[in-house]
Amino acid sequence: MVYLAEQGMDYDREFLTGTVGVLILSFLVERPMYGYEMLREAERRSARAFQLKEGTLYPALRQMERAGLLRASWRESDAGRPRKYYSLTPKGRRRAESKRRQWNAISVAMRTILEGSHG
Amino acid sequence: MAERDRAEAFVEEVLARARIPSRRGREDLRRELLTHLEDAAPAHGSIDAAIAEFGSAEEVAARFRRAYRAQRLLAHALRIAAVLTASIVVALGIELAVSRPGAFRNMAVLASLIVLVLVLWHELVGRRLHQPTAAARTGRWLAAFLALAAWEYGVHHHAGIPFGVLRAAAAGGVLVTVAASTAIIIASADRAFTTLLQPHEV
Repeated sequence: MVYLAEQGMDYDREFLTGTVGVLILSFLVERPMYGYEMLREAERRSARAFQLKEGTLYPALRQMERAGLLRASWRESDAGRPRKYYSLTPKGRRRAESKRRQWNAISVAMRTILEGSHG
Repeated sequence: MAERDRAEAFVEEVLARARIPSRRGREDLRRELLTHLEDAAPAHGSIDAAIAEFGSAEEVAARFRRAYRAQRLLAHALRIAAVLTASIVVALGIELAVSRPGAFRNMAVLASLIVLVLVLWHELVGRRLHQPTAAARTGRWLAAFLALAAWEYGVHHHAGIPFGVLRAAAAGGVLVTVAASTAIIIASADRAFTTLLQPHEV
């Protein structure tokens, strides 16, 4: 599950279901990352409003690895400690692009509707 | 208990409940989760806080169980297929060794049916039952022997084929041997599968 920590907002869990995979794919489009790095990246990019939960992230990574979207390998990080780095397979890269297009289309459509309802 | 030990205990609990059907997969996950907790500890203030942030072991394990569901089902299917194949090969071998010429076909069908019923019964009912006592086990085998011998005698009698009590007992004995070999194969496969799913055996 992804949690949004914006003050005063009570987000619907159902609304956020399915975003974990999209977040993982969008991070890994840029470069290979390990699990904890993805968590920090989610917080950093959203100014801590977006918090990817550890207990959700690792099962999702496993599921995506098994689905052939990700590949993983242990190697030394910049800090010198070995960590399990995930990267996209060609299938994962195609899925990431498809998800990006879907989310863009949805967000544009939703914004149009919501702004229209206020206008 | 030291912080590192508490982290290991938490990860072990997740692994024990996650039922990941591969030693390599479990070992890999153990290493990854421990590395994560060590990474997260400074940001959260302590390993205990990092563990608390991770979520309850049961909830996390339930998500891993879902992630590995297809692999676990495949492993179960392979186990059942292996048990059926090995049991039928052994059953046919026994029947081939002891059957009279011309009688092999019928006995092979009956032996295969016994194997099939035993494997199905074990999968649908037996795995959920408690282990019976030695006396109960002996009683069951004796009852199975008597039932199979009676079946052999009755079938031949009904068909008008002369078949003495001793021959019926011998045929019953052969069929009980088939059933026993199947039971041994099922138990061996169960032990192997339990070892495969049991993280503490790694």
